[in-house]
Amino acid sequence: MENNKDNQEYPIPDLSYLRDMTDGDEESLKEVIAIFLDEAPRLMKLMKDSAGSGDHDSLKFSTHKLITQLTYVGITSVIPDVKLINTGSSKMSDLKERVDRIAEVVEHSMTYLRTLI
Amino acid sequence: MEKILIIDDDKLVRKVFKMTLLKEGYDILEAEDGPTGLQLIRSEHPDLTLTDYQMPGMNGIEVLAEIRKTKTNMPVIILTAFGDVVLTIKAIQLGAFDFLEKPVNPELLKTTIKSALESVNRSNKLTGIIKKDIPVDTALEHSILVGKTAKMKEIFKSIGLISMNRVNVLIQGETGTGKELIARLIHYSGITRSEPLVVVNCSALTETLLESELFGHVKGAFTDSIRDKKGKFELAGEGTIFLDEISEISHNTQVKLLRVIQELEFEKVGGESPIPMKARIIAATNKSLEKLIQEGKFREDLYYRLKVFTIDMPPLRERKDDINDLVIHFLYKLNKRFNRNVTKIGDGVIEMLQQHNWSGNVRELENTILQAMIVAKNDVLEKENISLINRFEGDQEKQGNKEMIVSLAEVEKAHIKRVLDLVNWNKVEASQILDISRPTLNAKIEKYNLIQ
Repeated sequence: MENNKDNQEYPIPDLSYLRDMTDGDEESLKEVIAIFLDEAPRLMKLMKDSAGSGDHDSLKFSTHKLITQLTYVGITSVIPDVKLINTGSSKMSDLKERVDRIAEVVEHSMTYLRTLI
Repeated sequence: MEKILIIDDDKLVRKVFKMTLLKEGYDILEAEDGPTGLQLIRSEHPDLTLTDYQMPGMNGIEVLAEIRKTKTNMPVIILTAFGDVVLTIKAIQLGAFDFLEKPVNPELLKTTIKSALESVNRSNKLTGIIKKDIPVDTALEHSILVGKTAKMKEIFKSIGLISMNRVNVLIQGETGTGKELIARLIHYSGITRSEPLVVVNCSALTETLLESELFGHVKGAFTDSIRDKKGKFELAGEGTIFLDEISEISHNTQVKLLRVIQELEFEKVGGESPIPMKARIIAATNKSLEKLIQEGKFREDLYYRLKVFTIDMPPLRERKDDINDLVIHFLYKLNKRFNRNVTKIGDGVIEMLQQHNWSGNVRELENTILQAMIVAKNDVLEKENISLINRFEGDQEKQGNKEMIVSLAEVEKAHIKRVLDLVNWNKVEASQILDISRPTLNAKIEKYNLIQ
């Protein structure tokens, strides 16, 4: 029961796009995941910092990049929120909560992805 | 081995594309920003560039603009996380081969790259057909003189004779065969060249207006005539008056025109003093005047006065050997007018055009070339750029093949599929061309079960 709830809140990344792109090559898949694990923390930090400081330009840039990366590694559940922030962060009253929620899901997915490499 | 340059500040994107494209046998170059990419283009001469749009410092459109300054022919594909209509249009205007949304479908990426490289290869094999140093005046003459077929050569010979004599000429031919061009050539190539050429479209004016246009009027001749006005015959002086669609003039105007030709003078509407008529008359018709005479709609005596010399313009379907030269001419003319650089003709294009019926004649051909030029993705006019389907169906219908007639839905389905294929299923671009919203396009794709 607890596990099901956990899966609903933190869905397992869907790697089907990457598998298509890498033509099922597991080594290549691992290489891409490793790059994501290396790059994502920097983008996540930039997103959090710019949300905190109200730097909407940096927020736009970081979310733009995150959309692509999250799509590639199949962390799709947060993409609608990232897109909303990308297009209208300045009008959001709950910006910080949304950013925290995204960070939580991405962190959880990264933990799972680390087990694959 | 073809070399592809990937410009993207996102290492993960570069990696994914690199892996995919290495498997396809391409050599891959990578750059993490625009300036580095441009440097690699200068030193490594890649065959194609994939560039992200959103990059710090220099965006993909700026990269594309820089590339186009020196590499006019290298395909550039721009990638973005969001489909953006304005960006897409700008990218295509600047000469991007395509504009793809990330994450790019692997198959779409491969086919787009393959198609871009193939188009360059075809372009490289073909020799440029447009001589860029033709001066404008010469080009104008070329526009009239296009035609190597026997029928056209005979017409050109006739023009040589007519242009040195001030005889009246009747030009007959279907719509779009170039009757006005022939009239211009007669005028400008002979003794009238330094005199005015005045063009009157007889079908565009009511009887009263036409008479006022042709002969002029004096002040007070009718309600709105507040001052004297010269008519076209007077304005033509010793030059040429070209009466287009002569079959459309009323019986009354026919009588007055006949009198002008017989007596070589006319009076303004409401006027009494005769004015000498010195201009040569060239009349044109897309209807059979002989048939109209039989039906009592056109005066026989006027007909014989107009057709001192007759030129019959052949329909394009009877001079298909001229299509190659006409296409070259239109490319030259339209490139100049629309600031394009489509200077080559792809394999099979001329043959494809020669198979068409061309019910709209040369004018239809020109419009077809213009449409094709607009969608051409590089300097080559390709078969897939040319839209003939609907017209072909129209031709079939005219020929009585009723079994070929399909429902409106089938026509719509075929057209949407063709546009989607043309733009490699880029829905933003397709919806632009089709002039419908993207949700509407999606709904139609679903309705017609269209598959890439």
